[in-house]
Amino acid sequence: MIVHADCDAFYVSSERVFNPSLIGKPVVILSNGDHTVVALSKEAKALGIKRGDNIKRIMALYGHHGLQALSSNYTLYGDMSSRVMEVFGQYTPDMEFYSIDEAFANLYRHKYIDLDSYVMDAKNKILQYTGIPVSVGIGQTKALAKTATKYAKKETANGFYRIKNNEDRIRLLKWLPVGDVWGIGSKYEEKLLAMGIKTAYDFSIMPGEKVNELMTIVGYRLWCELNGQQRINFEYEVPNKKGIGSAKGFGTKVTELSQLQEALEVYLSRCCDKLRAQNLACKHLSVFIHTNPFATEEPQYYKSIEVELPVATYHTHLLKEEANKLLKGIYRIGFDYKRVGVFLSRLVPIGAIQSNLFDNPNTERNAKLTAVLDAMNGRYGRDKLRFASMGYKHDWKARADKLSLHFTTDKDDIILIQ
Amino acid sequence: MESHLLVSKESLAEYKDSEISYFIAPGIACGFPSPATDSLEVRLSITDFFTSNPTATFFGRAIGSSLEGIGIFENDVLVIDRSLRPVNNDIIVMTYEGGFTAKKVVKEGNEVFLISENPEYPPVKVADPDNLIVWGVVSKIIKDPRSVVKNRYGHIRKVI
Repeated sequence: MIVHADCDAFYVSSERVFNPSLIGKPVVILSNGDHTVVALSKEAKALGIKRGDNIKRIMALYGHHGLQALSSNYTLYGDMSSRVMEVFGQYTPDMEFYSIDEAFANLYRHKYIDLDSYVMDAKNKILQYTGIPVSVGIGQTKALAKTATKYAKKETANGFYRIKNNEDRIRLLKWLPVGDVWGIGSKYEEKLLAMGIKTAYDFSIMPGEKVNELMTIVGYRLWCELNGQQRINFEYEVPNKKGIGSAKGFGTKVTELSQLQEALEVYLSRCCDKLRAQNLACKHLSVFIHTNPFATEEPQYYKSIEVELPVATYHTHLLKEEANKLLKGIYRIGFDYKRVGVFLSRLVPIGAIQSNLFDNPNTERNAKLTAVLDAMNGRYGRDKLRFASMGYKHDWKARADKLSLHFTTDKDDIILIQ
Repeated sequence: MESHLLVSKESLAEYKDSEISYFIAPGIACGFPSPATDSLEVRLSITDFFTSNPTATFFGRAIGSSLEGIGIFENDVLVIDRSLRPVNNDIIVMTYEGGFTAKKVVKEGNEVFLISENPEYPPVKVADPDNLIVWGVVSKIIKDPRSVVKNRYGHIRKVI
């Protein structure tokens, strides 16, 4: 049996744990730069607000309903997510962390337990330990478990549903609009609707070959899953990434090379942290800059540049030298830049770095320097020890005016008790 | 003289948050080895005293003087363990008017009261003790006897 757990309005729920005044109110969480809605509470949904809505527009429309808007606080959400997953993980080793707020568990080892009470216990414990409400669905396959969770969220009082038999399966599939099926995007939804396929059930009784023809093997696998045959594998280990990148839009107009450089180094430093956390090194580095493509009346510029490194490396200070060279090469005076980005690719495990004849004679010193950097920052906090060129002012940073505090990761930000 | 690293870095990784100390024993060539090398253990860390369940542990800071009756003073740090179920005489954290407050839970017969030991806040009888809504149970209180230190927001941070 496959269990699927999905946190209810995860970003909003995380904020509400530490700010109870948000409970019961319509709340939206904003995108990087505070422009659009990326997540919302069910009260905000009830007002008619949707993901992607512009914040200025909805504030004008719904501000008088007590609508609360917050900048996205990924530091907080990341920590709350790992707490939720840790509690869930106490119930079974066979888990797949599907996203920041969703996980699958394969309970094939748990043949002789009362599944319903076991899963309800997990759900209650997650709520008690972390304050995050979770909805849970159980089904024969991943796609069916996900359908059950959807049903549990919308149609049950306790946020839990198990597909017990074939009648349950058919009833749920008839309930689910075809566009809401896991993996069916708006393009296929349109095609299917045009063919008179309205629900997940209609889809599941189509001939398999026809599905294969229309939607390739991916659609066919989904079709099998909805019919109770497991086709989508469990990914117990997070697959190694092809690359690690960071690129964020600026909050103000950026014209100077020095500002771009500062931003690039901050992003690069984040990427290098991630790289080393996974014990990887990179052999390929690319940097890009561009102006705001939506400001059509302004002069436009887009340029990306890349370099193959002679030896794979994981050292921030070496990569930053290369990245700065690349940036200088593509920077042109006279543009309002919107974004700078960096991407590290061709990743190899640190132990498998191939050195060559012309290897840097300072390999050992570099390793020591980076080890000290990581040890210091691991202990005293991110970027406490940093390259001076990363700067402090960061006036290019995107707006996050309504950012809540880092309640669980910064000792100056813990909750106040009166 | 070169020294020997007796405890590997990996085995110390779980003590990442605490003091990392390396156990350095004098090299054999330079005299008598320390007689204690076989008995060395990892030094106690402050975290050993505080939490058994980090997943469910959160921290809060006391502000104002209304909690002094139950032994909590301004700037004390409360270690809050959400995995605990409240029992008699526990100090609990609960939400109150959009923020947080702490109360002592006292059971008298079949009745449960929330007590502040403060004349301004008389004891409150809990209507339904089985469904008392608790944010977390205070498992430790950290006091700094020299505490006049202000956090980065000043002595009293504005309550959000």
